[in-house]
Amino acid sequence: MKMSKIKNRELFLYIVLIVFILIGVYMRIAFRPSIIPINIAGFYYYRASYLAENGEYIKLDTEGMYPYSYRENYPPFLVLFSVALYKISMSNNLLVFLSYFPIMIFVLISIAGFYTLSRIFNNFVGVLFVALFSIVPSALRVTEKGFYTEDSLGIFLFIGLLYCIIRLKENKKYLYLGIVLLTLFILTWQTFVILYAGLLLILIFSLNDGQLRKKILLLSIIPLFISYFVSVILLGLAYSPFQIFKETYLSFTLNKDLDYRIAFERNDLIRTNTGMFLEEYSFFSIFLIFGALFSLSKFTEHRYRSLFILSALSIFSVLTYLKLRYFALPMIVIMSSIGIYKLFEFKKSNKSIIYIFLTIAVIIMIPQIYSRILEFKVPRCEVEFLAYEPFKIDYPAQINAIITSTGGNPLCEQNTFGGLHFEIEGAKILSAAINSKYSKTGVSEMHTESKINWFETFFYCLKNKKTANLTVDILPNQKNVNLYYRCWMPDECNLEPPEDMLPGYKKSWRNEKCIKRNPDKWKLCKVDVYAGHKTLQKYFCNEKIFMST
Amino acid sequence: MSKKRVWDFLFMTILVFSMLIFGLKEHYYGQREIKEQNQEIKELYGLIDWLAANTEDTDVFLAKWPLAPYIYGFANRKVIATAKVYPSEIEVVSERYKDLDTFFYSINEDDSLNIVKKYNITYIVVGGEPNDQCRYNDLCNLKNQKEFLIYRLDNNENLRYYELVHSSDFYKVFKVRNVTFSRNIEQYDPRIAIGKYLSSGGNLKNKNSNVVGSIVPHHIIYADNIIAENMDTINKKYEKIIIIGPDHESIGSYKISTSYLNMKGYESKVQVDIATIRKLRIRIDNGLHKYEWSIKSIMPFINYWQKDAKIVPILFGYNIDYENAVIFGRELAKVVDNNTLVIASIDFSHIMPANEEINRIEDNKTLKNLLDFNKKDIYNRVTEGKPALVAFMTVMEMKNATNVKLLNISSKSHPKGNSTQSVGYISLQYSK
Repeated sequence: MKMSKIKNRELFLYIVLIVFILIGVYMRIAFRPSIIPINIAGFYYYRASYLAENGEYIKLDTEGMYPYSYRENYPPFLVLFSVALYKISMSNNLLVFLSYFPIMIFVLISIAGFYTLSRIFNNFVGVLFVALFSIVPSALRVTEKGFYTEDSLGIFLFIGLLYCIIRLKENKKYLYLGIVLLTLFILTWQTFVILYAGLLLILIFSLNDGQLRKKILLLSIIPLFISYFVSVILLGLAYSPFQIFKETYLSFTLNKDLDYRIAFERNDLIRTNTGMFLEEYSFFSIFLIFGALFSLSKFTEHRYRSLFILSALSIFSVLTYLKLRYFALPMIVIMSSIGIYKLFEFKKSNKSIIYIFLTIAVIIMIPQIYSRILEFKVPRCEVEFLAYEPFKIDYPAQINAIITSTGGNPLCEQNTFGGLHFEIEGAKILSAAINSKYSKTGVSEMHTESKINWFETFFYCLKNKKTANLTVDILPNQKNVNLYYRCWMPDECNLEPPEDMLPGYKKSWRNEKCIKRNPDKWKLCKVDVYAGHKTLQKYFCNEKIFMST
Repeated sequence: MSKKRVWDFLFMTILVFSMLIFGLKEHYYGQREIKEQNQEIKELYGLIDWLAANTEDTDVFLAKWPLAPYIYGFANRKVIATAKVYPSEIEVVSERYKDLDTFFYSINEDDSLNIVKKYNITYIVVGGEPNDQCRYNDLCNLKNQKEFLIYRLDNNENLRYYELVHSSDFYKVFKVRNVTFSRNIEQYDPRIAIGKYLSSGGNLKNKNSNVVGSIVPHHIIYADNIIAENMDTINKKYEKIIIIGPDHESIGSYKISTSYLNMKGYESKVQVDIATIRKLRIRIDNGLHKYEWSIKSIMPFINYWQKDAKIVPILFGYNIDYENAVIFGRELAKVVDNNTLVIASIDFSHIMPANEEINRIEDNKTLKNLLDFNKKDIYNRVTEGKPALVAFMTVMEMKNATNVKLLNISSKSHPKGNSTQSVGYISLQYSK
């Protein structure tokens, strides 16, 4: 009876496991364009097609930074592995095969993650891992159709390696397997340097255990030389683990250099804040705190110590650079799974750990929940003008405006922005400047139409209660200086851009109904603008009159 | 039902539901963007197909770095920068990114031609990414952005040098119209020459692993391919390279001089072999070596093919007689071992106004002397660097490097001041 219950439970878990893998596969295909997508890492495709066509790995890159030629210095294993699978598959379309390659790796990661965690903990933790890895945004992205980069394969190898590290004490076979996996990891992903920092920390905390210490040392050192041999000697490439250590060192010593900042000015080389972290790993990642606290409480045990060290390093790395989000992904999902499981078994858990976790979780989540609520509210901007009146005709005067975001948070994407349209009659605009410590800002060129001088300002992501200050220097030339203005904020919505939108604006402009203007009804502005359309558009404006003497 | 069961049930229900909600949310947002992405990817494929069908392998494309990987990776065409960068490559990559900005945000179309000229660009591709990446150009803050070239390319407005050859909603391809450029030393980049040489496949047939000495030109603007070929065909890695060349203007403080200063190589500085310099007891003239070009101009080529070798740079004034040149050659031979390469950096006859026929006659006379080891006659030839050549030949004799292989003999004419000049080049390798 008991046996059958256990079997039933296991069977149920296996069914859930398969369902989550299938859901994961579906999401990775269905949420992607129906046309085979291609991504920016075209250099991997280039190398793969070269290998598939010529039967040898590319040794000299003469096209990527023409006219210079570079000895190939990218990690080769992704290309070797994927092209080997392609050849085995007998497929006749490399691009199609490679675009589905990340999904194959997703299935492998799910199986490896389940196996690892079910062996280290139990099947339930394994299923939790698969469930989370199926839906967590960054996991979804890194293994979706068309995302052919080294990251997914690296994650798979990382999980295998983690298993070997944790079971290192038990049997020599884990050392051998670990050496193979770490060698392949080095040949796949430059982030192995962070893994070495983890191995070093594990070594430091295992100094008392002679046998473990020796195994960690062997595990760390041998793959360096094997991967060097394979890459440099066997394949004749310039990629070597020692070169990557040097590059890492250079990234620390050169990061203040102007050239470095220019060459690495990428939008993911930024620090990750809590909001971004939760967006990448979903709110389920909050449970990693519980998993980490639990592991810390059992730090004397090798498996928890290894898990804690590698998780701490992963979290530290992603907080330092958003770019490392995929490196941190496996440990964050693993720790979150452990956290959920331990919370599930809260009766067996230390109560003080639960209280600490709940306190931290509340502190982190409340601002996030508040921020999410604001995102559902309609964004709105309001403008308040300040000026010393009366102005004196033909004497410069200044108008200051405070633009405040008073509604929900606007849509903050790369191509969207809010702004202020400013028209003035009875004065010449001398200059205009806008600044905000909360958002990137800008001012358009000045225009004159009949007697109206006008311009527009932009603020790219002015969140709730945040402000931008506009200063306009004018030269009044008549008694009444009439100001017409409107501001707008982009809102999150699901409508298509209008048909008459200029191609260049299609990406950046949503449907007019998604733009929240203030005023949305009043008097028409004096100047019509294109606002990305092919024809001039009429909008409403508020009016304010300043007096001159 | 026990409390534990209730808890299990609640926990699982909450977990599964929250995961489903989460998945649905992703689905909702995913669907919204798919249509837009489909259109963009379709156009990207259109662009790639067009490039593959209508352009040549040899064409060079200029595109912003987020777009370039598609051109490079999927259409297999040459680009000047992609997203790839290692910290050791920042100098080169940042220069490229700055050049991209200089091009796209130039106001005057003539200014943009400097970048076209620098990289031999044949096509420009715009589109895909938003055009808000002006960061490294002094003009970035210009209020009237419509004056920028990128705006004019986007709208195909008033373009003199760029002809629209392919267009879709997202992407436009422009062909650079035929513009004739003259070569200019200030803008010369030896790495470009090496890249071009390698792109052409190099010289695979004439590899030689017994080379003791080489004679190469240093007139890099016109003879870079000859230098590259000579270095490429040496199939051995040396620990030390002794480079001798003329002090063109004989302005050095000493007749023969060397320098302790490391020299600029291909990617990094090339180290000087201090121990050999001490052994040779040559006078140091760092100032001269910084100025004089016969050695420093070929250093990137040497460094590219002999990455780990240290160098001993030696400059010869014109006022060294034959006997002293031979004596110095004998001293030099003492520090030449099996891991040492000796390079004489010499341009041969210089004829003004240009007359390549005279170059051909005179250089063939010199070549005969070089092949026959007729050192004494070298002083009667029309060539620069006679003492350096005699010292070089003395070393080769003493090291039994008497197998001489001619790789190239040619000449080139070019403007010189208000006149013209033709210069002769001889590329030789001496081996045992």
